[in-house]
Amino acid sequence: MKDKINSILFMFTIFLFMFLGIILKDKDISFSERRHLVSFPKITINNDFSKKLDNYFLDQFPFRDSFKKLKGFTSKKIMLMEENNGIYEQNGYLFQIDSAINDKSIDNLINKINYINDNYLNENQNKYFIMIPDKNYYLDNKNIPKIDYEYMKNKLKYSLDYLKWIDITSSLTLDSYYKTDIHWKQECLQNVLNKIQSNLNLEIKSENYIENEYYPFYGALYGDNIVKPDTLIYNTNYVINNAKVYNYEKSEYQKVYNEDNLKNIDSYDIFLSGATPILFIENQNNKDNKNLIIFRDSFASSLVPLLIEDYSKITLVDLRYVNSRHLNKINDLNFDDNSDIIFMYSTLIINNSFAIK
Amino acid sequence: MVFSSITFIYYFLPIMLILYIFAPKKYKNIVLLISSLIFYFYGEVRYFLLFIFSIIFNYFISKLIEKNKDKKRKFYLIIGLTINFLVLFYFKYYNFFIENINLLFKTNISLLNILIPLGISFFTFKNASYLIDVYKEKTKSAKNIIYYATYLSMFCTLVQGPIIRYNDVQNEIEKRNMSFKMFSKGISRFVIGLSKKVLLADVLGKFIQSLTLIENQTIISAWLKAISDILRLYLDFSGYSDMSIGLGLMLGFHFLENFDYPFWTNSLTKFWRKWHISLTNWFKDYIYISLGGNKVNNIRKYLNILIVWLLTGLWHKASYCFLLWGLYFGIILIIEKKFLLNFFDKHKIIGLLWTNIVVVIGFVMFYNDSLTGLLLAFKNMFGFNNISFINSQTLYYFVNYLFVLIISIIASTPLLKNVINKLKENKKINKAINFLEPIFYIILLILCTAFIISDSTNPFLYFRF
Repeated sequence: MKDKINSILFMFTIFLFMFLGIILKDKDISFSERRHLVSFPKITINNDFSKKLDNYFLDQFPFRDSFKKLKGFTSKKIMLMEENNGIYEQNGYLFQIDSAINDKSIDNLINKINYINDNYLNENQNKYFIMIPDKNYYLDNKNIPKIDYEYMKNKLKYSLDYLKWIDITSSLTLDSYYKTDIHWKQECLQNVLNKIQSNLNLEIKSENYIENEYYPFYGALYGDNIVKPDTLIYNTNYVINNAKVYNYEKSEYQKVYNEDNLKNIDSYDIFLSGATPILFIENQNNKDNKNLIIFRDSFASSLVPLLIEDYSKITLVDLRYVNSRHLNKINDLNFDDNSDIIFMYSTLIINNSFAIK
Repeated sequence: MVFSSITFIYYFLPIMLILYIFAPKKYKNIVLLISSLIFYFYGEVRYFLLFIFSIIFNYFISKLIEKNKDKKRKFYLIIGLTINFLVLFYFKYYNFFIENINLLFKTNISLLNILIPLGISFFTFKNASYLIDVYKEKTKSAKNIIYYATYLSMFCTLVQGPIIRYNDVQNEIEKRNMSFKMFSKGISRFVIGLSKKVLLADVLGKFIQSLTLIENQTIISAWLKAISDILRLYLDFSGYSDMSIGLGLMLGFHFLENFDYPFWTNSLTKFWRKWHISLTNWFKDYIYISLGGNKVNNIRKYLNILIVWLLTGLWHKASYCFLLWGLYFGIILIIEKKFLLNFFDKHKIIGLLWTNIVVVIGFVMFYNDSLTGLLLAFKNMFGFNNISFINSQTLYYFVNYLFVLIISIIASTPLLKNVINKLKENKKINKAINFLEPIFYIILLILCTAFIISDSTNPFLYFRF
C-alpha cells in the first residue's frame, strides 16, 4: 500500500506542475527579482536552445515566487543560515555582505576625479567630496565582516586633499535606508541636506513637503528573502513640481519624479528617471544664478530634488554613462567660477568604480 | 539535461515515464531508447552523431568478435578498442599530449579548439568493457542493435555513470519486470539523491565559493575549503548515483551500487572499494588483473598499482594535477599494503582518521587545475604562507554554514540509515514511518524544487569527465 501511495503521489506531483506550467500564462516581469523573465525561446538545433529552454522552464515555473520564499524560509529557519545568496538579514533589513577593500577601484576613482579637476575645474570654485556610506556601515553586528570604511575615507581624503570633505556619516542611521534596497530613503535625508547646506553656505530651512507613498517597492536585495517589501516615499513641493529637468541624452524635458517609472522593474527610477549620463535641472524660482554641478551615482537621484530650491541650475553628471574626456563637448556644461562642485559617491561605487569612465 | 533541473524532473520525466509505463512490454526498450537519445541530443547536439556511430560500431564489432576465432577474434577486439580509445584520446588527451610535445621539443604544433563530448569517458569505458567481455566470453553479444543501443544510451547512466557492464543488465534489457515496490523504491532513491545534490552539495558549493573569495585566507579557511570540497564531491556524485539507481528501479533495472559510505572506513584501500565503485572495479578488472594483478612479485604488483592509479588520474582529466592525484593515491595504497593494513584492522579509529585525512589532502589535487594553485592551497593549509590561523570572515562563513556542514557529514555516514533501520524494528514506529515516508519524499521534492528555482542548479561535478 505504501509503495502505491508513494508512486501515485510522486507521479501526481510531477504531472501537476507540468500541467500547470503548460496551462498557466507566462509572466513578463518578476517584480520581486526586478528582472524580465525568459520567454519561450526560438527553436534552433544547437546547445543554446536547450540552455534557453532550461531557463524558460525555471523562470516560468508555477508559483515561482512562493517557491523562492520557501527556499528563503528553509535557508534561514531550518538550515539556520543567516546569509542567503550573499544577503544577510537582520531585523528585516537586508545587507549585501562585502568585506574586501578594492584598492584598484579606489585608485581608479581618484584618477578620474584628478583628471576632471586638472582639465575642467579651477581653484576659484568650491569643490567638495561626499562619501555616502552604504547601509552595512550602520549594521550593528560585530560578527559580520565589513569593508574598512576608515581606510577608504583616509585614502580618499589624502589623495583628494583639494576637495573639502563633507562628512555625512553622523547624519544617517540604519533607518535612513530602505530595508530591501541598497539606497537611502528620501524622506530621511533632512540631516544630510542640512549638513550639505551648512558646508556650502546655503540657507538652512525647514521645508514642508507633501509625502507621496508607493507600495510595494521591491528593492535590489529583496530576492527570495522572507521580509516585507518597502514603502517608497517621494517628497514634493511647489519648487520641485515646477522645476524643469532636461535629459541631455534623450534631448527632452522630464519631470523630477516620473511616476510612470514606479511600475518599472526598479521603482527607484521615479527619482530623476533613473540612470542617465547628464541632467540639467532648472529652477526658475531661484534668481541667484547659482550653479551646482554634481558628479554622482544613483544615490544623488533622491537627494538632489531636495537641493533644487537652493540653486538656479543643477547639473548632474554620471561618469558611468559619459566619458570624462568628452565633457568639454557637452553644450551647457559650464564649469564657471560661480559653480559649486560636488563629487558624491557611495562606498559601493567607490569600491567598484571600474564603470566610471 | 541535468537530473536536478526543472526540465528533467517536471517535463522529461513525467512524459517519459507515462509513455514507458503504458507501452507494451515489447516496445519498452524502444521508448527507453528514443527517450535516451532525446536526452543526449538535448544536452549534446554537436556530437550526437558521434554517439550514434559509437553504438553502431561497437554493436557490429562485437558481432565480429563473437563470430570469429583466435587471431581474427583478437584482431577485431584490438580494432574495436583502438577506435574507441582513439576517439577518446582525440577529444580528451590530444591537446595535453601536444602541449607536452611543444614543451619538450620546443615545437609549435597548434592545439585543437574542441569541446569534449558529453559522457565520452563513461560510454567509452562501457564500450570497452563490453567488447572485452564478449572477447573473453564473459557475456554474449547483444541480440540486436536495439538492445545494445538501449544499454549504451540509457539516460540514467549515460553521462555520469555508474559504468554498468552489459552482462550486469543483459537479462533485464531483454526481459524485465516492473512493480510498485520497485517503482516506489526508485522514487525514494531518486529523491534522496536529488536532496543530497540540491540541498547539501550545491549549498556547500556556495560555502566553498565564499571561502575562496575571502580576501585574507587563513589556515582554517583552507582546511574548511578542502573538507567541504570532498564532502561536496561525495554528496554531488553519490547523489547523482542515487538518482541514477532510483531511475533504473523505476524503469525495472537493478544497477550495482556506486558508493558505500566511503568515509566510514579504516583504510584507503577500503575507501577505494567504496568510492566510485564502478570505475575502481573497471580498472581492477580490465587493467590491474590484465597486468598480472596480485599473482606477480611484489615490485611488479606495486608497479601495477601505480600504473592503474596514474591511468585513473588521467581518466578524470588530462592534467598534471590529476596525474599527481593518481600517483599520490597509488603510493599511499602501496604503503598501506606493505605496512599499515594489519595495524588499521586492529586500530580502527586511527585507520578512520588516517583515511579521512589522506583523502582530504589528496582531493586538494582534484580541485586545482594548476600546480601553482595546488602549491598555494597546500601552503595555506599547512601555514607556510604567513597567514593567520582564523579571522572574522572565516568565522562568519563557518558559523553561517555550520548546520549544513554537520548535516553533510552525517549524510556521508551510515548513521541515519542505521538509526532508521533500528527504529523500524519496533512495529508501531515502523508503521508510522511507512505512513510518513511518502509525505516525507514529497516534502523533499518540493524543497529541492524551491532551491532549484531560487538558485538555478549547478551541473553535476562529474559531468566534466
